Amino acid sequence: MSTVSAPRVRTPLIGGGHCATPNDGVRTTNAHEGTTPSGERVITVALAGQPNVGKSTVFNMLTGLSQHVGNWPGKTIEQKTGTYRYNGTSVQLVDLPGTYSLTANSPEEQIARDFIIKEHPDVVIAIVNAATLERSLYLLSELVWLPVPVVLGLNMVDVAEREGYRVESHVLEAALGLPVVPIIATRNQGIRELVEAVDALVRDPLRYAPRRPEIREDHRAVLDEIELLIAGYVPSPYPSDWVALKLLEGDVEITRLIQTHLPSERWEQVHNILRQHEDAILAVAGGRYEWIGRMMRAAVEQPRVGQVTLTDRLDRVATHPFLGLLVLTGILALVFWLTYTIATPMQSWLDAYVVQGGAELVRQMLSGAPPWIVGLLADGVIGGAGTVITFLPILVIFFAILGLLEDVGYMARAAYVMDRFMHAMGLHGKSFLPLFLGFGCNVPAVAGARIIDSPRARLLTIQLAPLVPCTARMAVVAFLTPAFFGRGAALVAWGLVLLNLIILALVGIVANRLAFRGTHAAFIMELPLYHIPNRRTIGMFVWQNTTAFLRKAGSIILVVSVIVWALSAFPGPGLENSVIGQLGQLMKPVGQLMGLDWQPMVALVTSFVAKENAIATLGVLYGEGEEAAGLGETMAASVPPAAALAFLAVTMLFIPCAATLATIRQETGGWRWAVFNVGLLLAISFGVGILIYQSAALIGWGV
Amino acid sequence: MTDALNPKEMSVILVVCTPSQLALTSDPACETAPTTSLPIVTPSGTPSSPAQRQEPVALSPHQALDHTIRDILARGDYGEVETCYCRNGYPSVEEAIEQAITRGARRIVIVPTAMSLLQIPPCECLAEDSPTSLRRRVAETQAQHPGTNIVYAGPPFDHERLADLILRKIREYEPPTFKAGVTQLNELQAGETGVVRELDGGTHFRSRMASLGFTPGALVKMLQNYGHGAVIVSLRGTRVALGRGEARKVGVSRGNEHR
Repeated sequence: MSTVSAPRVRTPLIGGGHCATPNDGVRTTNAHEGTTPSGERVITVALAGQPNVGKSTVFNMLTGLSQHVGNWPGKTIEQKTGTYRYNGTSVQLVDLPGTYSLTANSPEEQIARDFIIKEHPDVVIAIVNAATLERSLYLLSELVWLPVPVVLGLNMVDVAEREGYRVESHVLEAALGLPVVPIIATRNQGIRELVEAVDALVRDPLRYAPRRPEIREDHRAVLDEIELLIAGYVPSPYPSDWVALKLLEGDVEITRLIQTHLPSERWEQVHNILRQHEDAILAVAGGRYEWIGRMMRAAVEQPRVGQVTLTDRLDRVATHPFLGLLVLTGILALVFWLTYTIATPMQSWLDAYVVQGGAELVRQMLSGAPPWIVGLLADGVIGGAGTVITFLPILVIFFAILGLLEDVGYMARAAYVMDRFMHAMGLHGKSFLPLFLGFGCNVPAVAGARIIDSPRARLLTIQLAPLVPCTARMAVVAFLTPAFFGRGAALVAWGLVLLNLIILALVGIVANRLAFRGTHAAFIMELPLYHIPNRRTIGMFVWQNTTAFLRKAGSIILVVSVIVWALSAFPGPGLENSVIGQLGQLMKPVGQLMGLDWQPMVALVTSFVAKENAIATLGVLYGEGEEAAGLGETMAASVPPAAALAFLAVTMLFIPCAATLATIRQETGGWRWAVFNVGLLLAISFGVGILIYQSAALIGWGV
Repeated sequence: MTDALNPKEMSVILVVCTPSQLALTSDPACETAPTTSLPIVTPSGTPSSPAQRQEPVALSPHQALDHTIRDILARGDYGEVETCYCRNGYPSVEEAIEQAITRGARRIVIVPTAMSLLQIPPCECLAEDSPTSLRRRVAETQAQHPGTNIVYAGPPFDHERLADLILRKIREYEPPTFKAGVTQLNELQAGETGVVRELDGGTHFRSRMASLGFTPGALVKMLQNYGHGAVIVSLRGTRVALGRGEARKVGVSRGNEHR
């Protein structure tokens, strides 16, 4: 039998009365605390906050570019860390995922609380939004129960005042019993005071005496009972009063933890108590909101009732079922128009001077070297790097506009408007956001599916993302359509985009019916207040997304580009006698069904490196050189319009490029779903291509 | 305090009443044929896929047991799940416990697969006064093995839990029913206000909604409701978009009077 020790004596609470003010939980020494070789003190500070409180702006202001972006161990959730120095102390700042509470409803919430409990940072900075104070204080009401001192950053006081809220921060500070610093992160106001408050708390931790939300009378006794039963069995470093509360809240993770650590008879007793109080979560959460309500009444002047705010006025249009769609369509059109008008000239400039120039330079410098070395460097390496470089303007501009829309608060409205369309696919509005990113590049689209809570909806979104036509495929279409279809080019191009979206919807609907059997994920989403965008926040958004693309896609494109170059150069001579040429010959039977010769099939193979490679390959194969100025005309002479249409459709729907595939593998944790996606898109693209050509042949058009 | 046991040292033994229960037919002849083999699943077993899980009716008792074992293993709390027979089959409960101990189990939980006394046909091993009473036999085995913690967990459902389960299952298929005077949130017209009274749905959903501020007594205002699709409400100073299905699970009383 197990040996059972006497229950641990509960630590008596200091203070007492209505609001407990214990400070026994705060440790004065810390595992993290240390000194650098130069004698500088090193501490760890965690940054916590709900979504839409401006937490990342605060993080950016504090750390600047000294950021490291990685993943939380074992999770596909982004972890950002950075450092700042103040008063002889080096502060390691860890950005916790944005969460509404600390109950393990999502991996993000689990990460946030595990970090605070297990890693025990010296201080937690909690950021709240002054304009939505009542809701954003909820996270604080949970944080004050953990044994780490908290500094409150009261952000967006300017937005709050515009909405009619006035927050008396010193009153709030007295009521909460912890430092409160009003800040306007977007204007860098109050950041210094926040840093000072953290420093003061680290130097004198005993000052920290928060008032905690008390548990409602009817649940107090139950909580004591549970705490007594689990006393002595709670594994370190979990605080046992907190564990008892989480049990009462029905927290799945803590319930399992205690179940494995408790002897079965005791667990049976605890379990019986919990079963009688299944609704306790509402009482506990309600109790916290009552506590928040008291803070609000003391410290906040509320707006006049019936005041129509800017957000109300804008939302009348932006979330209207019909007008909202018009606005969304207009914004999408504007995004594309801006992206291409600004980026295309930059792209051709980069291609002409940097990429072609670089290749030319390499050829001249290595004029005496063996031809294969020249080819490897000039075509393989510089060609691959060029693909990445010429791609950057499009990505930067697309991400900048998207970052702007996100920062203003519009993207949540777009998700809301799209919700009913996404429902047919068993997805909801949130999935629209990563898919929309896909119009820029499929890589961030696949990675962006992380925002979706349900694993099934996330997987489906990842599978659908490669069907969104990215800028690279649009470039191929924009280049080839004028030669084949003259005045009708724009119409054909839009038709192809529409075809992709229709197929995306069909795949989604079928997947939902077959694999998911019509289940749907809960759609619960906050619509943040509109506010003036911040240059720095958008800048960081662009910087992080672009560098992520360079890190992930850049190296893969380079490697695959070299491999494909080798396959296209050997055994030679010429592309038609190379491995890839042979592969094209091998695919000829499939090509014939679409009216295509082997050259376009080879172009499809090389488009695996990066979609726009198709043009360069066709240029080589139709003997027009890489500049491909006359390519369109040459091709138009030998490829009939129906076959060209089939080729364009296949290009738009073809398997994801190497970088996207690698990202799918990374995000789904294995090759299984990446390979599945390749098979799916291979079937769809060839199927559609054959269908187009054969139907055209049947009615006798363009063959 | 118990030492924290490694899942590898924790074993679950599922007790099938008699071999005939695993046979596809209810032919009483099977009672005399103890050759029906038990499903063997090693700890490396993978959980049954969601697709298989969809059709519980289509499973044979044998398959159902097999899936249950895989699911328990997949949760990771117990490193080993064994099966045995209460009567007329090999291994018996005692034999299965001995085997688990030889394999290094330090804590063994015995659970009958006969879900409750209501089961048809009833399993006599569940009855305390039966000569084959599982509880008594486990207690006797425990006495012989003081070094191992052997627990009889009882049938998974007593009548009370069975009632809970049945009601929960029914609820999945029924629109939420609230007390008199409490309506579903999606029935509020744009501009109307209400007070949150109840939350329906699973623990996870209620926990998420509660942390967003949907707790009894909270004032909620409908901002947008076109009679179809997601709605937008304002509560506790924020705007929240809710799918129609989610809004249905929030019970509100019209008006803005706090109780």
